[in-house]
Amino acid sequence: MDQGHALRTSIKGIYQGGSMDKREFIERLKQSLSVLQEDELRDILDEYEQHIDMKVESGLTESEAIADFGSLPELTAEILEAYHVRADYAARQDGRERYEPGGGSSALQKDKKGGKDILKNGTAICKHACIALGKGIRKGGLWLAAFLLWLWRQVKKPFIWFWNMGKKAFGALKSRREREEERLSETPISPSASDPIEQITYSELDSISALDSTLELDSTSAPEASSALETLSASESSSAPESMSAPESVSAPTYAASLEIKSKTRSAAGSVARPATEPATKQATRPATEPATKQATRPATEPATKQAVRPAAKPASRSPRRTSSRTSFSGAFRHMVKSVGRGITRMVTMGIGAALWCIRMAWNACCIGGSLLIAVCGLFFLYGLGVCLILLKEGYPMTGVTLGCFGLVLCAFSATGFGFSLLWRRRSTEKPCLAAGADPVKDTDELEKEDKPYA
Amino acid sequence: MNAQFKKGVLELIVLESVRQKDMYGYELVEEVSKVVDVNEGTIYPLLKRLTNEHYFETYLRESTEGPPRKYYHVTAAGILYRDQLEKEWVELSEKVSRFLKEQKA
Repeated sequence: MDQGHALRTSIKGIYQGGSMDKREFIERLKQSLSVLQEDELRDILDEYEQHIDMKVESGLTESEAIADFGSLPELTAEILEAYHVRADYAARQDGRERYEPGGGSSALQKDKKGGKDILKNGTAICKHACIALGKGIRKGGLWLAAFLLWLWRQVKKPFIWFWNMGKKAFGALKSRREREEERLSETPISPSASDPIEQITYSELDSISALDSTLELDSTSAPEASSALETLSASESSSAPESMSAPESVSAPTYAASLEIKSKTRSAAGSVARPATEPATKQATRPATEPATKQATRPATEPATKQAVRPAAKPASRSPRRTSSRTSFSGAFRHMVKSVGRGITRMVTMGIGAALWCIRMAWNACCIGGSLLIAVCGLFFLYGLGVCLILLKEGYPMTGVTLGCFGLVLCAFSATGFGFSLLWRRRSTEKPCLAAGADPVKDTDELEKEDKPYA
Repeated sequence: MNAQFKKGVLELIVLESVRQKDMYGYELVEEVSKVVDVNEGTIYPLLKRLTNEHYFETYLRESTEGPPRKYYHVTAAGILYRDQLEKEWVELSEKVSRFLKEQKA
């Protein structure tokens, strides 16, 4: 038995390439098992060291004790198998080839081939990814543009509604003012202390005649006045001397016609709206620019004129007197109502303007705030994109995440640009509106300026 | 003995040995060597594997002859595993014996 053990030990020693002591064996075993954790390695080495010591205590030498363990590579492989570690991996860690002959070179060739395949596949993947990315960007851009267009229309609707409402309100106000102006221009000028008829010159007769066509003459006074004028013209033409018949520049028929028109005008004005503070006879017998020579001859014709005109003028002059107090009271009341209405209208206008201003400010704040928030998110996505690119370069499978980050960056910055472009577009669209005079603020200012003469 | 045979039954022998009483490595190697001629170096990786699979647990005990020794103690899972291995071994050995007897007959 002892001889057989000695023989076996010697054979094992020859197989291992010579005997070695405990320290050398432990050192080589440690190198072979370097893939294991430090505490596990220490545990195993202690076990084998203790086993060798016990063998030595039993009378064997270190070499004989070590030879009983068998081949060191086989021992290493068994130990690593117990830890579920591939033995060839440990051998490669030691800088050796695999245990199988030619295995290392084949593994190297496989690695090189695999590297080439990876490079080829990576290029193809990048190519496809670029094409897909381009298509995606194009399609995404179209979708984004369509969405932004739709969003712009949706956002624009309430503003257009508000704009139309304001325009309608200001238009109504403006038309009312125009109506008022037209009405005021149609009504005669308020009476002054002196008779305005005296201020009418012959050159204004044309305008008076034009005004005459619009006025309705009193049916009763018109024939009487015409008959009186006929009498007057007859007496003037028969009794007046040549020097006193008519002004030098005006012929007799023309003068008679003017007198006729003036009498018509006076009677009509007195009956329509003229507050007659003077008697109708005075109106009939006072030509404004009548020459002094003519005035001297007038007493001759005055009785006839008075007889002719008075019955017609008196009824016309009494009714304006009675209505003057009523019209002044109603005018004051109307003026007060108008003032109150104007005030209310101005307040409503200012309210609408303030509301529009608030809406515009809120819209701009939303645009700016939202754009800045999305821009910050875009910066975060950009940072993530950079990290993903670095990891992708290092070989991590981050292609999908990187593309996702790229898309998010594009979306975020596009949304930011869109938000600021909305703000810019609003400002640009205000100018033409201002030029057209449709801005409610400007309208208010204009109205205030227009209101000043009424104040 | 064939190495594959030895490798197959080695777990059963080690489990049964430790089930009888707690042992340290060298003692166990000596005990197993009485049954099968086995490479001593292979016992330690087997002990490590069975410990990692929670069939054994270890503890240190002081020794008068040297440094503290690591003892192996079989767990309940180890006992169940040992019974299963014994059953399989018995079935296999019976079948092989029966087959061999039939072939001889």
